[in-house]
Amino acid sequence: MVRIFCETRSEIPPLRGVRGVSFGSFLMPRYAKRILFDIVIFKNTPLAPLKGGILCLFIAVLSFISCEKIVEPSALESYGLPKVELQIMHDDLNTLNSHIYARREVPARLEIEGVRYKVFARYSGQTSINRWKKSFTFTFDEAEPFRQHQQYVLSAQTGDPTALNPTTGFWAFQQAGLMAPEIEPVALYLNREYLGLYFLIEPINEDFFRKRRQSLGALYEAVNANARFSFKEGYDVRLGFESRGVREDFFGDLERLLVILDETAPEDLPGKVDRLLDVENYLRYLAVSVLIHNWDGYFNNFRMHLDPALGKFQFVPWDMDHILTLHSPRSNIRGANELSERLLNNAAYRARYRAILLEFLEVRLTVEQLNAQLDTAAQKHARAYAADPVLSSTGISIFEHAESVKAFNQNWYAQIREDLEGLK
Amino acid sequence: MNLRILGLRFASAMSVALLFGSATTLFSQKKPELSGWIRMGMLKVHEEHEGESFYAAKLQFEVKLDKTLEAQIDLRAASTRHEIELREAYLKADVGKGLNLDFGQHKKRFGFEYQKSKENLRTVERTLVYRYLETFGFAGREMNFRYYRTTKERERPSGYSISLGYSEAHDLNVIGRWQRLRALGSFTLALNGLAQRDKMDNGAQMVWGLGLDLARDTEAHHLELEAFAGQDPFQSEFERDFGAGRKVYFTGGKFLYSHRFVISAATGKVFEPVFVTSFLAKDLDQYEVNTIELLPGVNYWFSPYARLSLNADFVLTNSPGNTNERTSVGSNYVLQMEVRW
Repeated sequence: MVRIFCETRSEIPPLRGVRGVSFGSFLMPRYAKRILFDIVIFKNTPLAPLKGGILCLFIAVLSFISCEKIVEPSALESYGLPKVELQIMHDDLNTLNSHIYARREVPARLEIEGVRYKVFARYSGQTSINRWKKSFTFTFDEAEPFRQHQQYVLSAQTGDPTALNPTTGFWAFQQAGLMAPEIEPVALYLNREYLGLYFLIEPINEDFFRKRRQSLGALYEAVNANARFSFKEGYDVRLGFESRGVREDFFGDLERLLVILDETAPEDLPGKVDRLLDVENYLRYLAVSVLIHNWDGYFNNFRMHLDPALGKFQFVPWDMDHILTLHSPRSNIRGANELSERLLNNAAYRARYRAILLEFLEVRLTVEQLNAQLDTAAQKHARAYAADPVLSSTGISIFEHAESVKAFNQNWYAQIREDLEGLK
Repeated sequence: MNLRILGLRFASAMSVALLFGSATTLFSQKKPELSGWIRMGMLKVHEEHEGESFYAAKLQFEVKLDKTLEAQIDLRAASTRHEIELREAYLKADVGKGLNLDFGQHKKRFGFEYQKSKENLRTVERTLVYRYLETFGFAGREMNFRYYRTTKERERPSGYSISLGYSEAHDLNVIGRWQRLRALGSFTLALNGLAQRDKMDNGAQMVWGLGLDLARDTEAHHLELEAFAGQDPFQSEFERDFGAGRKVYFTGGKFLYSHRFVISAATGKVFEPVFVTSFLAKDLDQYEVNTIELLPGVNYWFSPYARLSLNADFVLTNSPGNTNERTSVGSNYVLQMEVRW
């Protein structure tokens, strides 16, 4: 039997200069009988109206007698990472958990490495929103932004059982000279309960471009695993893209790009498509995606931004949990969407793409560099990973994951080298 | 003419008919009744260095559409939020003999405290077990349809309520409550049951909750005794997806006593000390890991519509690694003035 119900007075530890009380053993049957007896004996006496108060006093005295030691809470473990503490009140948690798909916002307190913020928190994510380990988006006070952002994402990256992909993926895009969100692994606590290893990820919005000295133009989010680059089969861009730019719900420039791709012969593409698309940027995005196996980034997790100063679309990667794994229909040196297919049908673009791939394979993104990055991430995340209730449930250590991904990369890079011939 | 066009025309005709029908009723209805409260005060969370002031308001509109139909809207605003929240919006139909139907967004009535609005509680906030039940939606608010019979002294000693609810998280539930006045001496006894189909990432699970409450309410004093047990949907889902697949059950209980010392019957001045103790074990397999709540408090009623409350809510929790010592994380002290109308 558990202690709270069965400890007898003889077992009650002596007072040790403690500061608080617990009601400990008053629930035990012996005391319960006594309480009832006390109420009964007060019946029909002048003290009868006070019997409730006497009962409370009796409970309070018993509580004090059965003092257990009340201690200061221990500091929360950071597992070698920045610590993020999120506090949400019970009724706000009720609102959050009863409106998962509506993504209702509730007030919350956020403490990141000792700095406190009053924020509004909501669940975020697409397919992962109803998973046990949920991602959050925070809205900060205008006067108190976080890393120059009004909003920030705390992602669970539930699609990645290795916890290595997000940092490695964004690192790879940055190595290629492309814009990519800043990412930082953290240890997250919700109301002092460890939720696990999470990633603070910079959202791609107006603040993102302002930080990079660009202004917000047309911005499209690829969603629903249905971002396509052809109107064939009656495709509607609203099925796979959300417009988040200066003109919300405007799709005109994106539709123009798709018309050009559909109606222009491959040899005529230069001079037409590059008026609207930064082709060099896309070929580099494609090359990195092929090397790190970003198969989700062909039709789902990416953003297209039309910088008003440049007047052309550029690609920005998003959500790197589904990388470094084989996906047979999309495991291809040419990528797997209509845009890559159309561009690589042009000999000049194909040659340029081949040159970029070679540059990455040999200089910017070698397999040794990629694998070293994995080792660094594994080392950094190891303790938070081991304590994470979800990640650790597989029984596979992060170092075992790293070894198998590194072996996969060796084979994949060798395969790409062989396939380069096909691009001539 | 295809079915879609026919359907659209039918819907348009129905809308016009409803609009005119409603307008006739609306022009003949009484003025809305307004009720609500304002609250202001100070909150100090134990582990925080500084306390915080707060203010909040509730505005409730009750519109009698006709003799038997009523619409209720509950709006809330608080210093912690940017916006006014539509907390409840529902229709209430009186079908006679104490029988009623409610439909819309309103309370999920599991347990004694959720039969009442916050302003009718003896404490400033709901107590420990309810705060836990709220986090996974056994209590709170949702869209539901409720059929119930109210109790009345001497005429209807027994009452019941059954509701079918659906939350935006795609959870479906049935909540039942039966209560009897003077079932045990002067105590009102009530039994609560909840069954919920809980939507998960890859499927669904059935979870349940049971509650028993005893309450005694007289001029001088008020007493509540409650006991709960049930299956925790969050932890059970975790165990199913990442653990050994076991179901996680919780149990809890509450004792609340308050005594009213009348200072002036003419003005309604009353001094009311309150004492609450609660117990919560979130996992019956680890029963020794639990939380105890001790809440001494007082309400000073300036009139039946205004009270000053002071609650010291001690929340004492031990941990799996150390069941002998408890921390007071989550304990808080509230001083609050509430005026209702």
